[in-house]
Amino acid sequence: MRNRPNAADLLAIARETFLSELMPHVPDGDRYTALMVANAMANAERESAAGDTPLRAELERLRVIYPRAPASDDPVAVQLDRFNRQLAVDLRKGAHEADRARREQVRTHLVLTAIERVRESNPKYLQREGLE
Amino acid sequence: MGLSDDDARTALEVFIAGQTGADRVVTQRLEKLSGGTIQENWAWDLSLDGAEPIAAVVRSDAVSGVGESLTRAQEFAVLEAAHAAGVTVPEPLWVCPDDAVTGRPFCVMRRVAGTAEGHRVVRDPALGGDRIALTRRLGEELARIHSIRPPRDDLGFLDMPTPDPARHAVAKFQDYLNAMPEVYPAVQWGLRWAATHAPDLAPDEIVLTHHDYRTGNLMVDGAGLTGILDWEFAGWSDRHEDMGWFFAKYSRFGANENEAGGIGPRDVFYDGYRAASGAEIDPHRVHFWEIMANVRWAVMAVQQAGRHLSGEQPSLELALTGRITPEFELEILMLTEEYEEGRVG
Repeated sequence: MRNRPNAADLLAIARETFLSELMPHVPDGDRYTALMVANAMANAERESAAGDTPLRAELERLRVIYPRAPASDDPVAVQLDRFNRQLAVDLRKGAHEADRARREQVRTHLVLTAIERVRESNPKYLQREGLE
Repeated sequence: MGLSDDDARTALEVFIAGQTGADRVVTQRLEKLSGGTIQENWAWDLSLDGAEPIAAVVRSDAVSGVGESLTRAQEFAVLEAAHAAGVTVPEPLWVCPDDAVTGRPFCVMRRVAGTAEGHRVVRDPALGGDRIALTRRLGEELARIHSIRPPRDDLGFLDMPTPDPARHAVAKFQDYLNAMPEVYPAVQWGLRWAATHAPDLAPDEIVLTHHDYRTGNLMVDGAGLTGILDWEFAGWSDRHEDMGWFFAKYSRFGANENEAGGIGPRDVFYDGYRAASGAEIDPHRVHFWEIMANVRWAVMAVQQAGRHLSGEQPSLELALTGRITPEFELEILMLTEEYEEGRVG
């Protein structure tokens, strides 16, 4: 556990300060760049606040899809990379297509994974699409 | 290209004098325009022998080119073909195919008025004139582009996709995916779906496709369309490919209710297309290409982020583009399901 304010807290207040105090002085020609800076900070803040919770959820689902995979003490990112490489190979071969329930299981996993990513990158998109 | 440099400007003037036979070419304004990560565009006002000034754009390669795009001379030839077919494009004026004049190949086109900026075009009611008329017009314009068919000596540099456009595209994007350091299972899901649903296409159905026909590349002013821009990806393909690309959600700039590029209803676009071409539209094929459009967007987003991550071109814009990838993945997953459930078109 790190001290508060943590990275997400710092990014949040840095962004707020940037938008309220600096943005009004940004010339029109640089506004697009300034907005990109604010957007990048918001992205980083949400990712930091979420921590590895979405990655653990993704890993849990992959373990259900591949129940025979041996248990591992590797870091989450390493395990995810291994599972996702397997999944990509299987998807390319159509390995999940014969069984309808299996196909649906994989598709649901992919949808949830994409939603977890968009929740960090562009949560408004999910609201607009009625996915949140 | 250092066009702001006096020597480059003089070289440009001398080149145009040679092209036109004018004794005197005078530059009134030469100014770099914003945007364009692949190409660089300069606004150029010039007059020939004291005549009324010509408002032009000089378009050249930016520092790093993209493998897939046409050279400036090729793009110029496509633009000439489109102009001759009655497509609303900036009139092509002159082309310099080599580095001799300014250090990079360039072409010069007449400048068209208005804006192409997607967010403004979909939101600002003062732009584009009547929206229904504009939507229909965009269908008609696309039909005119598709009236250009092979074989064409002037477009002999365009490769014919083999064995057909759909399978060619699937193989190409699979290669791109295989070359990436990370894996993208949702994009792979889309490509597998596409590989098993690729529509057949008779060779005589091949047409010239723009390959980037979307809001953001369509210049409009207060009255309507003024020019279709950015022809660097043009090639032979299935006409439904341009439609799928045009309808893809990303190019609606948030105005999702208007499926035709955030501008108007899909049906009105189709009506315009049918009226100008006499051709029928297969909604299943459009749907196929809309899925492929999202595969293409996803691959491009990952590639652009890669240019940032590798240090080749550190850029906040490229970095943020990479963060859009999961939105394309969601679209792929939703659209393939809609197709399976028969919700097409």
